[in-house]
Amino acid sequence: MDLLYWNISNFVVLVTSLFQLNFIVASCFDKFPAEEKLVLTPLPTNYLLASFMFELDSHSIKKIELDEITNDSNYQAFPKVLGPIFESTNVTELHLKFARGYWDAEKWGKLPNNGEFSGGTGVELWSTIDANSEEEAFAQWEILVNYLSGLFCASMNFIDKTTTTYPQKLFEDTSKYENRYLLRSVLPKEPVCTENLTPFLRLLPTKGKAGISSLLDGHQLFYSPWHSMSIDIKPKLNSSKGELHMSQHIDQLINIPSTFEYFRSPIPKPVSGDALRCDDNKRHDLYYCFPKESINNLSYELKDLFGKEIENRLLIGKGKSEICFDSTEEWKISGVTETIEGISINKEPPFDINLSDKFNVKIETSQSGKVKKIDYPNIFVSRSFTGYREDSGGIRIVFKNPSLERAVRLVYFESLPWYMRIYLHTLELIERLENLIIKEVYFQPSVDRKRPGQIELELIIPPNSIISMNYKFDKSLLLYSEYPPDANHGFELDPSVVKVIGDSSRSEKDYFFRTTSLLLSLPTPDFSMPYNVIIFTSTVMALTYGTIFNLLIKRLINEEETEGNSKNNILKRLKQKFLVKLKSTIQKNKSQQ
Amino acid sequence: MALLEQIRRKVYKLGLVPKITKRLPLISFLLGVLSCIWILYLPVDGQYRRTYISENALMPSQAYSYFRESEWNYERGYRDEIHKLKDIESIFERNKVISEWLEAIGLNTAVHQFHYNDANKTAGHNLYGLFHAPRGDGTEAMVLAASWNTPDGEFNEGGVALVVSLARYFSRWSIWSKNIIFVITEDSHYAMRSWVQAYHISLDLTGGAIEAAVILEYPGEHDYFKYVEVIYGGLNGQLPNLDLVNTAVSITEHEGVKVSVQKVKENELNRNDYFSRCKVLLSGIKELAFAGLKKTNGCEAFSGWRIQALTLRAKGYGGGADITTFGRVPEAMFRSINNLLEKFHQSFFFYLMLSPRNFVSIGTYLPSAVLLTVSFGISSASIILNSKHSESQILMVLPKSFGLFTISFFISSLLGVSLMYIPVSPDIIFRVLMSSGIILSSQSLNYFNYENNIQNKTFPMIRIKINLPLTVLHSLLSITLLYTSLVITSLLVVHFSIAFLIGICLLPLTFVRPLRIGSESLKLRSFVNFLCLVISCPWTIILVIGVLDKDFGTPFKVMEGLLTSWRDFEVWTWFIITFGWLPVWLEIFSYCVIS
Repeated sequence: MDLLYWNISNFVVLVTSLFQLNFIVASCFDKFPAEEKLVLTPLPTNYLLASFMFELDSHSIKKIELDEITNDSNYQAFPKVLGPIFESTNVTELHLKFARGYWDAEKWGKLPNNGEFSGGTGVELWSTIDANSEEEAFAQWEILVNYLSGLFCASMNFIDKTTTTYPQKLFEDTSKYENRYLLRSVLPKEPVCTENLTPFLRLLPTKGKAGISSLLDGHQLFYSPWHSMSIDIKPKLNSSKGELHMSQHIDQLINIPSTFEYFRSPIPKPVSGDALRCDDNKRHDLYYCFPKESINNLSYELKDLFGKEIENRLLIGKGKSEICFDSTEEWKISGVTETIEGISINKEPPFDINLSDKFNVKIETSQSGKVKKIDYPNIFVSRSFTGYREDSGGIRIVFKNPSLERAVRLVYFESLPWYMRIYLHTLELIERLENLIIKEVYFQPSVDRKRPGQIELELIIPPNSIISMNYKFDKSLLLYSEYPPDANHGFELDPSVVKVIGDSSRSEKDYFFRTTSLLLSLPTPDFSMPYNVIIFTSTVMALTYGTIFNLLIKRLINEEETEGNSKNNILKRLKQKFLVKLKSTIQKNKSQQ
Repeated sequence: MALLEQIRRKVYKLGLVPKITKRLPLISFLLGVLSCIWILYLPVDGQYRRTYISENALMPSQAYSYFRESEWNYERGYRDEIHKLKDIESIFERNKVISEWLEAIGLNTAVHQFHYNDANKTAGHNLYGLFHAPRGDGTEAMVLAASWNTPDGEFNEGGVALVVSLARYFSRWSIWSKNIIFVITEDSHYAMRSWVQAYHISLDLTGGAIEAAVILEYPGEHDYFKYVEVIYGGLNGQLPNLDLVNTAVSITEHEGVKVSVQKVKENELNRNDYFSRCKVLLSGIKELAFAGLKKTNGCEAFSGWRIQALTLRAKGYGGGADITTFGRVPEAMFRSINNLLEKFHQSFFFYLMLSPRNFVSIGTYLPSAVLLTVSFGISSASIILNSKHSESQILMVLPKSFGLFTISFFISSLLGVSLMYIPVSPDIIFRVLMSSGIILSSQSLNYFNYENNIQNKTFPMIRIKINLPLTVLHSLLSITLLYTSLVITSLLVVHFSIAFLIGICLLPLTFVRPLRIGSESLKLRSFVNFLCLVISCPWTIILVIGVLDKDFGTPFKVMEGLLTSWRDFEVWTWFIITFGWLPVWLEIFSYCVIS
């Protein structure tokens, strides 16, 4: 009875305090159109997908309209650093993605959010720009990339003409607007790390200090086998005032047992005998142990998994701040709310975390293999290099459609650096059904040092088929100074992008995904060679100079003259005189004896 | 310049030019001898160098290796299960079991199916698993491989168990910046080669460019071994970067285990004197020249795609080192390779080992082959200079002799290529070739032909050629020797071993001289010619190698290796013989017979 009474009184206090709090908040601030959400999705073999979403709307940020409203450049909750970009350039949309690792679609199915927010390895940026000409658009683009480079601590300033492409079919159709250009560039070599996360969090209204973003920690995020961060800024729908909508996403894949093991000891040190997990059906004793890999019992807290707790609340947001859980009944999930008044437990997700100062989630299951049915993509694409030569090579792309009845319509986009000279006539499909499969080809050949090559193919992959597409290319020699530092590493190729066109009759969305990047090895010179060449050339020049100099200043005489001259040589005469004297003295000595 | 001028004048005065011209054959011979001495002088103290790690990023054994203690229990657990698989004949069934284990560890696995060129064998299956690098962009990969059967025909129980337990162990590290591919093949010969080929042509599950590969061999179910053999051969004269070999040697010695290169026996491991070094050196040249012709050790399979590969083989039973020590060598090697930002490019790609810690680089050993080419060049010049034909005479007959040379080149290349595709067993091919070689050589005993004209009737072709004037013959011989010199020069850098061996084998041909009718030593001369022809005949050399080299056993095996190695391994040795060696021999043979 006591306990019940205590609980009830607690609840009453909680509710009253909440009302008070709301009142205080409302009286102090305006609420802004911000919203945040964390979705936890358990995946097979003890993986967990954590998807963070942060949505934010801006007030109108175009200067003229701004003046009308606030009379200064106040962006309110919308990050002030981003405002000037849109003010000073004619950028209408901005999409920036950072990603690292490998998403295995055959195990985990489709990428979160139909792949709309997940990038390929490295950094990817695409944007639409209003301009009168392509040159003008590119000039704006250059301003944009330099600005973002400083903002996100990424080498986006290296984006130039040779890496910028103009996708035609991949993203939105810009042809419906007049004078709108879509530019895209990728930095596949860029390592994504903490220095990119920090500016990402700074854009949030809570600066990563409150709400679900307080969970995010560099060590934990970058330990994961796959993670992707994205920022997408678009004009707000149905708005004429030029208001913007920004959505930030972080998706990360977590291997739960390995993460906990990593926290315990980052090195897989040998364990003591009793800590070995052995398969009972196989021989196991003091010496033998066949490892038992599958773990079915999982019980963990969000606090331990992320190494942090959710602290404070998103008080300035109009929208919700919640944690959702997407799985089957075998999983027991409970949200632990901690306020000044005490602790309460909620067993029904989604959890609203704005009710508490500290929030934690407990997840338990005895059958971790039973997860929500995996939604597999309709198509799997892999890409690899063929051939072994230093001067040429090939690319092989394999499209696998496992479905028995559905054909898949897709757009395949690939941008290739100019030093890869591809031959479009070598493009062939192993199945020899070119006409049936390739619906449309958009190809822009590369121009040396000016423009990358671009291939966009619209394909229809028939059901239950594996189709491999090959093409060949030549590798060109770079100029000495064009090789990057660590030239022998090779050159990374952008991940190619695949857009699976959704069936509109089934109201399907388009699904985006990217292949892995590739490492192209170009013939690389030995960089110490030029110095050898300089030394050799100098020697040859010195020798030539000496000979010519001799020829120019010396007198030409014939052999007899030389020998005649040598007789008259002072030295020789001296030598002869000396010899004569020596001989005579010796003879004298002999005769004396 | 003045100095050169003076020398020139002296030479002219003393009349050295005709004197030297007369002695050119002797000079050529001396250069050949010098070439051999050069090679044999390399193992003398002061001529070779001590190995060192050139790429700073490798840092071998700088991190502590944890594949020990409890990992041994797991390794034993896997090995015990693998031991049960020994009785299963079907590789497919065996791979199925291993594939389940690798999947449980969390790797993506795939089976590569291939067909042997041998019609009697059924389709082969190779299993491989891919571990995606948690750090890094997944564009590069390292390969850890083992074959079910070692080249000696033993069951590679420990090797396969190590690959699986290392796969489990590696997948728990978060440090990898390169993907790791674990490969289990049927054998380390054609099966492994076909996997590597398929990886670069048709496999769907790939992990990017392979930087390095380590092949493990640990036959038997014992826990302890004595020493490690590092095998580093490649095909077509290619070798793995010396840095990789040094890393392996340095790590193995760091683990307290002795290293053997070029299959040095256990009792000779501690020796490091002239003869031991010389033995390793010569064995290195021999192995490189015959790479791909006999049972390969696995590392050869990776040759040709800029992959640095070597095989680690545990030798002996019941020594001081245990199987986890053997496992720690690939562990530390992978950690070293994982450090690399660039491909292996710092150290030497052309070298000859003298002992695990001593080597000679290309600059030091190359002159010996250069001397050989010079020797052939000088012989070629000597034939023209000493023949007392005028320049115009020689120039007149040049087209004719070139024509003759082209004919023999065409015949021998046609023979070479057609033999590869004739469905006749290599035994018969070799027997036919060998006997025809001897019969043809015996034709050079023209002296005897004068006594009984029977043979001339059996070979009517020869009678037609007899009418050729001496000018043609001399220029023909000269062209042939010059061609030999060119063949050796062009092979010199890319495949030193073959260039050197062919040079040595063809050296006797420089002693072939025309028979002068009426000369007293006619009998002796024709016998010398016969001997020279027999010694430099490719088939004789094959016979000798086949008998002497234990890995072959019979010359038929050498022949089989030569004929199939292009098809299976893209080895050029057979083409070098039929395009570089045989035409020269045929030419000089016809020269002998006609003269």
